[in-house]
Amino acid sequence: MYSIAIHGGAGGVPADLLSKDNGARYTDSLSKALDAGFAMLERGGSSLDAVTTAVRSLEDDPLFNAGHGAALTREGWAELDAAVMDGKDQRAGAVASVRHVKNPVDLARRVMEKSRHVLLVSAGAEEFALEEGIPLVANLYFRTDERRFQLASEQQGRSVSDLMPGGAAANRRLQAPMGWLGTVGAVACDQHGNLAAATSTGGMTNKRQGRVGDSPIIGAGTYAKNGVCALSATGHGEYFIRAVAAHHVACAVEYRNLTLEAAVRELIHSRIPALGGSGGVIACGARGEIVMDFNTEGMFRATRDSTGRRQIAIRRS
Amino acid sequence: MLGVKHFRARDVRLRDSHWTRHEAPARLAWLAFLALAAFGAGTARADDAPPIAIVVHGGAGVINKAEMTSEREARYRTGLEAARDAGYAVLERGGTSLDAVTAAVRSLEGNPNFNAGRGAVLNHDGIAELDASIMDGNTLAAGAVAGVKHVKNPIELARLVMEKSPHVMLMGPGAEEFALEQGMPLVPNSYFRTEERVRQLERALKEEKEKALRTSGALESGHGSGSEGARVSEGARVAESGRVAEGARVVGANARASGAGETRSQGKASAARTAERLAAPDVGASTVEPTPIGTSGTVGAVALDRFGNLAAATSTGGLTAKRAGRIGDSPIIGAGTYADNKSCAVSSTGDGEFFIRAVVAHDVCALMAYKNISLEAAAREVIHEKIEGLKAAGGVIALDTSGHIVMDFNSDGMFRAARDSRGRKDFAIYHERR
Repeated sequence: MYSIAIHGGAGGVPADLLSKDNGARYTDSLSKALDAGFAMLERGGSSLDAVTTAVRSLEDDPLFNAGHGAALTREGWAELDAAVMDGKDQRAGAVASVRHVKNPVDLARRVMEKSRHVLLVSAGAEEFALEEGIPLVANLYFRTDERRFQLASEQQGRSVSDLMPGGAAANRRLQAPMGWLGTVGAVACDQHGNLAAATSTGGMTNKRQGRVGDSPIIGAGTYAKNGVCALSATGHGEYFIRAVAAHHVACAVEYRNLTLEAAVRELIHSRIPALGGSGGVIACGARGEIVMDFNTEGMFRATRDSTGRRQIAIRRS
Repeated sequence: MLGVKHFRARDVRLRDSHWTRHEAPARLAWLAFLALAAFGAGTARADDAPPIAIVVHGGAGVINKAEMTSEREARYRTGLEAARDAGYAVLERGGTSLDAVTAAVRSLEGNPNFNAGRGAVLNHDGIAELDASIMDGNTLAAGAVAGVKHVKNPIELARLVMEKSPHVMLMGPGAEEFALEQGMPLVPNSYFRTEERVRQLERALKEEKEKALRTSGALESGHGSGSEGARVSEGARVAESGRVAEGARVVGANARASGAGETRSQGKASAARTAERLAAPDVGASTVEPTPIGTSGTVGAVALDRFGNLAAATSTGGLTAKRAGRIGDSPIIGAGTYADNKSCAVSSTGDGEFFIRAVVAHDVCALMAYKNISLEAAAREVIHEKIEGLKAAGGVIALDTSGHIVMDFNSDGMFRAARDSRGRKDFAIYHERR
């Protein structure tokens, strides 16, 4: 069975988020990314291409906190992080704190394929992008009015959604308990049984310059190993780093013979909350089985596989 | 317990780092015990007390025996033993493992012989870029900094990130801004630069240039695409014109581009070679590492205190002639550093990219906890099967709550030293003869 799952962040779901056209905008966007990734798998493409394609699609959509429409730092900059990992040979690539790369997930993939490194950051990562012929874009490209509004609200002590620009504008009095954390990610299993994972984010609204969360950290926000699982996490990154969340699940599957579902459940409903964190993960098992779990009110998520299953959801079903 | 963790994570400013709330009862009990022991039968025998232990490393890698003179060996030994004993002194007077690993790593950062803090290797542009991380096995609190250029003791900044910020990892100027906010003075980058590191960088750049010239020759004789060959030779000419650093950078860039071109043009036929290239031990932009301790003179420490708490810390300058912005495993929680009282504390050193991919430090802990194998067996599996399987090299130091010490590596040697309350006190570089 081949399959793909994507997420667009986990957090609280304001009551009127799904009202009117809002819900449709999110499900349309998720649907587009899901089908773009699935199409790659359908025509025999690699899981690596599928997750890269799906994440790129979400990066380009200003609704999600990655690429265009990323959350802004304290000083009003977009600083982007991304990672990708190939489960076949466990190669990995990641970038952190880049400010001028349109699709950070593409640069992470270049780091994996064209450099001898795994993680490149800030100006050095952008130098590498230029050497690879990737054009840079102005930081303005990433900033949207909604994100500016969120930053201003946050700085005035009003907590708002990081997850959805439209939702935030519509919910000015929203008090999200953990803030909103709208990272995007994808996991997939291709026709050859190869697993891959990718994650991309703008991080937290009002974050300190240079703050790195779990998304670009191999083992924390992103991990893939054939025969075990592929994962992409979203949530309060600091806790996911400390728990080495993605690798923790892989170890529970590989060393303890837990099912993927049980391993994810333990992470999300026991280990992360015990540390004080919240969030969710999407995971793809060795045979393409998909697990999507979270301990927040909702997680933007979607999955599709070769048996015909196709699901898009936000709240707990 | 959850409440305590919550407090630590969210309101650390109120906390005294040397007397954490959760430790206070344990420490009071211990002081009371000591007082009773002093009144009673004299000093408590080491056997009765909970074990304390510290292990330090000063990097693992290829050891160039021609350059490893006895005088140089003595300098490494003196430095590592001083760091070990500084950490042990903290433990001996009842301090925390967190303070012990900080003290040991700070000592090595101040020693120009090791690749961390002062005496860190220089990147491609001649700048020292430093990474460090620290983790508390009791609370799983962690802090890390990467790519800092003006922080005298990166390990202290990593600790401040852990204790005084809501974050785990800060990098670059943002990390230095945080340092200033915390009242930590910055130092010029020249503080880190030593004559030896400058010479090493010059040698690395020279080798890189020679390699690029050879590559350009091969490309021009028809093995690669014409345009890339021309670009490489152009880069090489720039290098020859005397602008060594800049020219070599251009050559380096084009050499990488030519490698990519080769992959594209030869397709499957070169797949094996490409795999080999990707799997080759990481030596930054240079092919031959001229330092006597190979590619990774990273430093690190793990410790166990009287309260049964583990801690781990790692600090490094990374690779000689590394690309600006390259981050290795040292500041990555789970890869270079991990500590969990439920399993063990680990600090690693070696080919950083492979250690990140294998999530080395956390894997040692997870194997031990989940497979119910000894710390020794867990470390052996990670280093001699997984890392070896990736054709990479390096090592780990590790410690569990019973005080078991493991120092394992698959390279020529690893600078290492250990000391515990059972009387162990040693230093070694090469593999033990069995």
